[in-house]
Amino acid sequence: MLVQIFRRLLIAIPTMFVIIAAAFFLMRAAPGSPFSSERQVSAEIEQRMLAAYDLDKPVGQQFVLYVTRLLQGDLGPSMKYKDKDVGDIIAEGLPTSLIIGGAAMVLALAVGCSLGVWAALRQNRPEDYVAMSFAVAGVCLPPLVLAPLFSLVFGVQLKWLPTAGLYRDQYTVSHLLLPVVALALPQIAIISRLIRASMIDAMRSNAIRTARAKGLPESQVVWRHALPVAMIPVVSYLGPAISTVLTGGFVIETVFQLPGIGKQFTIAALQRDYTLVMGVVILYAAMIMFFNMMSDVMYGVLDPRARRS
Amino acid sequence: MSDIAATLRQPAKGRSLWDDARRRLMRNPAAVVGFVLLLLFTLLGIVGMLNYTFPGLFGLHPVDMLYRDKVSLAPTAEHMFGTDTEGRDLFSRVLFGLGISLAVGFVATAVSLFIGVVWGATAGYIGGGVDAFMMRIVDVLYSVPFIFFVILLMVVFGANIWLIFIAIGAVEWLTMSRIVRGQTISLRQKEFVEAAKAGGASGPAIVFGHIVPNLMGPVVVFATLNVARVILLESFLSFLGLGVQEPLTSLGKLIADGANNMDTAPWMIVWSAATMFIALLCFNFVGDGLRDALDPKDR
Repeated sequence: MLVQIFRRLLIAIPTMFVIIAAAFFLMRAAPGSPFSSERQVSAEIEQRMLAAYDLDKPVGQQFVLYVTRLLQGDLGPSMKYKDKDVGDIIAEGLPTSLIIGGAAMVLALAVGCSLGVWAALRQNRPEDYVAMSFAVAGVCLPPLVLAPLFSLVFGVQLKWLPTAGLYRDQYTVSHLLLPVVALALPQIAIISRLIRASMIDAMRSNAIRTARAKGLPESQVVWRHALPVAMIPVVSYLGPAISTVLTGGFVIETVFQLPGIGKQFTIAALQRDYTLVMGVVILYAAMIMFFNMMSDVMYGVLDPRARRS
Repeated sequence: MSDIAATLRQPAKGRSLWDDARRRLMRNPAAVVGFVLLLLFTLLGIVGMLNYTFPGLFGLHPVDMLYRDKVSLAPTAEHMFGTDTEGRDLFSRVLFGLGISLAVGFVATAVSLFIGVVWGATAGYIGGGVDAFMMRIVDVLYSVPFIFFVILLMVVFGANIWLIFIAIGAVEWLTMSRIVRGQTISLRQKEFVEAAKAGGASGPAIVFGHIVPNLMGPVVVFATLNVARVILLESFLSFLGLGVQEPLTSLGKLIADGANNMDTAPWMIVWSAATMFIALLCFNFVGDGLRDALDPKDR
């Protein structure tokens, strides 16, 4: 396992470096400077503004400076919020984004697995068809469709739940319920389909026949023997799932007006706040690569057959 | 007696993979309904786009016409879907947005199809070190969250529909190349490839003339599902304000507009979200149906 992690890191570190370099030079290739939209200033002042952001130095030197700072955990100053660092802005938004994303993943796994097992044990019966129709529909209801509709139905029309107005450090169930469910539903759908398919396979395996022959009660056969095997495909899906949930959070936070990173990123992208956009891209790329790696490594641990390839 | 002999003398009518697949597909009601609806949606999308180029064609309200006295009008007989907050006819706009979304889906998928098939077939046919090297590149690219690159491209160069086609297409080819490579490796050993080689066909001629046509089954399945994914990706960009820009629109942009005006014009979000949902559902039904039809052992 350690060898595998080490090998993945050997690839991940240069990949991350390439991502940072590509993002950096892409932004330097952008037409105009971040200040070009502001009112006309004298050449001297503009020179000082550029100097303050190191934009007067040669590009290569700027890159070295940026990477050196990055290695010290400094993402540089925001170009639009004059007195704030990108790191501070991200630190403000990260808790909200992580709580929503984490809650959505937990919900998706819990409900998705239960629904999938439930459907698999009733294969080709009406309950199974109902559950799987729900799953197909769920796949086609991404957060950007679901979140506004939830907000419209439960917030604007029924007025059951607030549709916006979460403040930092004030995470209540009523504020988080709609965003988390909207984010989790497509994942519930995908996970339940995965679990159903692999559970049906697992229940037909020789190991299960042996467990039954041994006289184990059915509940133990299902939960102790079949489910762990059936979970393996879900483990390898965790990486992509987390990546989808993280990006889906951008939409959710925009719709429900939540003060997370996604909301900040959307605003930053529209305002061309290059350093902030880049900071979020680097952070999210690193997180996604990390979770992909963990998901692959766990898959290798759980399924020895996968290690050989 | 001679009748039977005549019948026997006729060559047996072969059923190709595609004949079989069509037969099986026709027995799957969800896939048939999905396919018919998709054809209808595509037609409507084309009508919507023509209505943008030639305003007032087909007797529809022009896409960009501002009815100043009918701002945020709920659906009526004259404006089937109502009007938006600018006073534009929503039906025309949804058709237009549907057309753009489908166009992005089809074109970007075609781009990814082209890159993926060429890359995968080349790697699979040559094999050995070249294959290992080419697929290692794919492995490394797989771990890169490209969505952020697409976002960066849009931020830096400004959203533009051609950039969207190419950026999304260039991101989505990885899985395609893996599928194609796997298929190519299994087909490479087949007798018909031997025969083509014996006939003196060159490498590229064998790959693109003999192997690629035989691996279209899984490719078509993947492409169908990929169109849905691309439409979603474009909608995501549009939702963040980084997708297609005015005067163009797309389903994602319409949903974003609707989300911003839910209090005053809730029908805006309802129509555009419903159109998106049905379109995605159809692609999934057709894709799943095609998979079952082309790969009977997988059922």
